[in-house]
Amino acid sequence: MSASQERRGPRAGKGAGPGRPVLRPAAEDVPVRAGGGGGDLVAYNVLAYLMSGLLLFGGSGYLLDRWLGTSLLTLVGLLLGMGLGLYLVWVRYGGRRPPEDGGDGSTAGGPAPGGGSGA
Amino acid sequence: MEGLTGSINVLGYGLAALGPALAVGMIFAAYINGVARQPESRNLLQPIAILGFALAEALALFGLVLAFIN
Amino acid sequence: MSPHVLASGYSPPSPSSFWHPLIGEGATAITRPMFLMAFSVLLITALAFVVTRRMSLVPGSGQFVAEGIYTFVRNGVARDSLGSKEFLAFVPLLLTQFLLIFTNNLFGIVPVIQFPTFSRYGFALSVTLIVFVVYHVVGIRRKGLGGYFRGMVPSGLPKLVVPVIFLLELLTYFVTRPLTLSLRLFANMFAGHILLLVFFLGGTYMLVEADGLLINVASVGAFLMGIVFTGFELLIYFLQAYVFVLLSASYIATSIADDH
Repeated sequence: MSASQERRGPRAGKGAGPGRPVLRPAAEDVPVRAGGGGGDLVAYNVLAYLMSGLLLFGGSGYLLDRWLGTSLLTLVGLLLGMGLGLYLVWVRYGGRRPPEDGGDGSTAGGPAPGGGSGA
Repeated sequence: MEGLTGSINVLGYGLAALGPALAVGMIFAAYINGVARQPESRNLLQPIAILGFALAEALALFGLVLAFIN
Repeated sequence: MSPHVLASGYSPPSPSSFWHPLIGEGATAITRPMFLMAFSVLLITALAFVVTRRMSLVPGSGQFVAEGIYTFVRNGVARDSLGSKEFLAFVPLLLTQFLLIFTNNLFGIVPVIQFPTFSRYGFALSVTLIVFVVYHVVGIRRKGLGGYFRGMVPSGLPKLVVPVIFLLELLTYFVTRPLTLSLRLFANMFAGHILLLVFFLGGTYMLVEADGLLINVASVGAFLMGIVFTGFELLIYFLQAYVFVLLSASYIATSIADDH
């Protein structure tokens, strides 16, 4: 497979001096993190959750309005959807993370998901 | 001017997007400042920054959705 | 959306400026972006072949650039998002997507071509659909069908809220994520191309067809802005390709991670 071939091949890259290649060792095994690489991608996921909440509940509120003839359900659906979206963002990305590699002795506990006092 | 058509809804959304844009900028400026002063605080500050971002962005998204409802 | 034709004869660019049929007409026409996409595939394949034909331990310039691009996607995107145990299986997909998107974007500022392929939504959608299928299949294969859907709801929620949150997550996974991924790429390319069209076509109109010396001289400003925005568009093209690949890797990572 190409994977094993790729590991065995020469790895002379940018750090190579004149004539002597530098072989870089493989990185240590880093497990997959559910949050994805880098914190900046969290913003896109947050946006996706908020938009989904609005679309799902605002859309169903709108459809219910058309079916029942009322005119208030759209707004209620939108507010509910936004509230649920914010709650989901709180559950997934709120709470406190434990500090990596020994922090500074602060008493941060594990993450505190769920049961949050609302959005 | 001839040929200038459009909807006032979208104008309203454009005006309403000003506040959330400034708010998100200020939130992340504070986050960057905090992490720059003390890089170990990154894991403590990140959930707060994300929550603040979500709350501020919620208003902008409301404006966007309401701009399309007539 | 029909182009507005002003009394003075200038018609601003509109979505109809993106329709370039070359062979046939209507819904089954063969359009210019189709040829551009095929050409970009041939170009990438030819370049890759030429560069890797004679690889040496100390790289020459072509091999150096190719290694730089490959290392950038492999380490910077794939390994950082997917962890070092299982990222290698996905590097071909991510590298292909990055090269394809970046090359086709660059067609927007290459002199004779000047049309970014991904400003037609069908192309952005098809690239997104490939990633969509991949991250669902990988997740289902890794966790089983039930486990995959059960993993969508974070643990520790009060029982009342679970069905609602599950609906929300379902919508996110199946609709919102591919929609925003493809729409982001498409909207950036579309808006950038319209911007360049406004500056250059408007400047040409001001120089050639408008009467009045002041307008003719002021067209220099339009051309200058066009040049500035061409440089800006180069940055946007790279950034959009990078963000697309980064988000694809992030979605795949979410599918195969087994936290919560």
